[in-house]
Amino acid sequence: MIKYDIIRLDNKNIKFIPRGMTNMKFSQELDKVISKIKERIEKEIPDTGYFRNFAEDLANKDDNLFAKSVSLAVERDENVDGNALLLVSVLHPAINIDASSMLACGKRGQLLEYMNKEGFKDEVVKRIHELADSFL
Amino acid sequence: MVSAGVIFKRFIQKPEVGLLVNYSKLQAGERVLFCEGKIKDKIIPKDFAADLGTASIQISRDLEKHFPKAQAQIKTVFGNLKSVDKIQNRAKGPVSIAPKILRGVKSGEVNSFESAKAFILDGIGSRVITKSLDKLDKKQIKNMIESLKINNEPLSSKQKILLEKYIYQRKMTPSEELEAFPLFEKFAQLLIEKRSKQVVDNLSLSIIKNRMIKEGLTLEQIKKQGLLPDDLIQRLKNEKIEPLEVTLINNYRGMNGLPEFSSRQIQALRKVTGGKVIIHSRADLADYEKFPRTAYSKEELKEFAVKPSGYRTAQMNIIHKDGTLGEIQFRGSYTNMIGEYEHIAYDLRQGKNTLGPIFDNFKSAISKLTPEEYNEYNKYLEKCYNYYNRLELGLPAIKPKLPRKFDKILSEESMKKLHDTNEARLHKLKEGFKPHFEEVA
Repeated sequence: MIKYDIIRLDNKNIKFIPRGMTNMKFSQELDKVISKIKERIEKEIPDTGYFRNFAEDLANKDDNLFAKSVSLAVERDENVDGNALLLVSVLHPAINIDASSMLACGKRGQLLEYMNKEGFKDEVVKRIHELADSFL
Repeated sequence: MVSAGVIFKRFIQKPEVGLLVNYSKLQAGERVLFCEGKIKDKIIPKDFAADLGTASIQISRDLEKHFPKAQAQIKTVFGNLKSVDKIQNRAKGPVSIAPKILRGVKSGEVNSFESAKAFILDGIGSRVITKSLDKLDKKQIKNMIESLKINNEPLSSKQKILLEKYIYQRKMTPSEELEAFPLFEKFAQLLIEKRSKQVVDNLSLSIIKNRMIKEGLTLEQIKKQGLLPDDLIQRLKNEKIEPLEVTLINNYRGMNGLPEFSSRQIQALRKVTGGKVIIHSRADLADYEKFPRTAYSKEELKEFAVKPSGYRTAQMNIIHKDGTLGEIQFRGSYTNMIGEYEHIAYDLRQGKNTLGPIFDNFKSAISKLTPEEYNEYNKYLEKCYNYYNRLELGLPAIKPKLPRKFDKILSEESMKKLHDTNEARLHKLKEGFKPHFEEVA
């Protein structure tokens, strides 16, 4: 049972299009976010020790995706030194809920290796839709 | 009543609570639900209401069949823990199922019997209620403040003073409160984890065990990916672990409340559940800008705060071993108590009116509140939740008072009294009661 109070919002007019038809601008913006996050993983995650969590996001202007924003985030593993979690998050249009799931977990090199694999972006897009759907 | 050969009856699930059913369809064992075009101009025709009732009874009967095994599974995972006070389980009854299916029909998510069944995610509901911690003395609190570190740095003198004021609920300016709350949250993290450690450990082991069985995850992979700490890996090797599949996690809390599980525990659960599990949270609760380019103000977040009344619980959607959908809620015993009646005000404001005559004066007082007054009233309820949570964590706690402008019947004490009186009344009515069908006049 979802116990959120969502006001001001009427999703009756939201139209959905089939998966994979996400518009070009969104796709280009997502490329930028992926590229920035890769850069920051390389620079900001140390082999061991503390680092600040960070994220890169894009504002969603696509009416077909039930989300205000989408982000890729990197969180320090609070239980294993030197490890990090790569997350994908979707912000509810009413901004009060963030739905997220983990893409990968491991050391800096392992995260980059995962992100460089073929099909990484497709996986991110698939997850974004699943997360946005979880609000409905 | 007989209409074109169809017999309608009313199923009385418990005293004062029942629903209309198509008795002919129920007797024939027809498991169908045609929804298309049934609701026009928000009007629910009697035939369709009876079909909903029939499907609800059939789904409920299925749940009842699966209930003993599901109950045993939850008890196996959490029942032996010293930190657990009690475990409650229930199979959702037809009277609760029917309005939920109706919501699904209206939103387009339910269009058949099977989709109706799949829509009841909390068919088997379980609550794991944890014990409170012992009350902390002043010396223990002082030592905790002294040893607290945030981002690897000890607190400054100013931060220590602020935190102490917040812990002891001394008078503060709103800006001081805003500054002190994140410190308080870090301070309380250790207590939250102490209280829920056993539950989270067993939950993690059961989730990992499920992944080992279903996904072929190996012990080597678990070690390599750092999914479990060493002590849990040892337990995984040595103990018989009951598997459990989790599909969604919510860690509900109010605007100024603490969560049931700490962010560190949620992160640990995120790792063990893997990528398939979705976690719902509040973006502003991350200790970094999760959406740095998305502008929103604290005020906007307050307005959209998740459960303004302060409802707090860690809640998970699960799939039981036999495939039955269920939900587990984790909460402390005081939170469980206030959660039983806090929702009454919310339900009434939403137009739900299934309360007995004992609540008439309460209903009247709630209906008279303006939206602004209702917001203020929610703030009072949130303070009550936070008060009880402080007791659960062994922290100093001052019981909030209902602002004088409100009718006394709206106080938390009064709500508890009404709830308890009503429960006693229903308990008496239930003596010798058996669910049954009544003829429809």
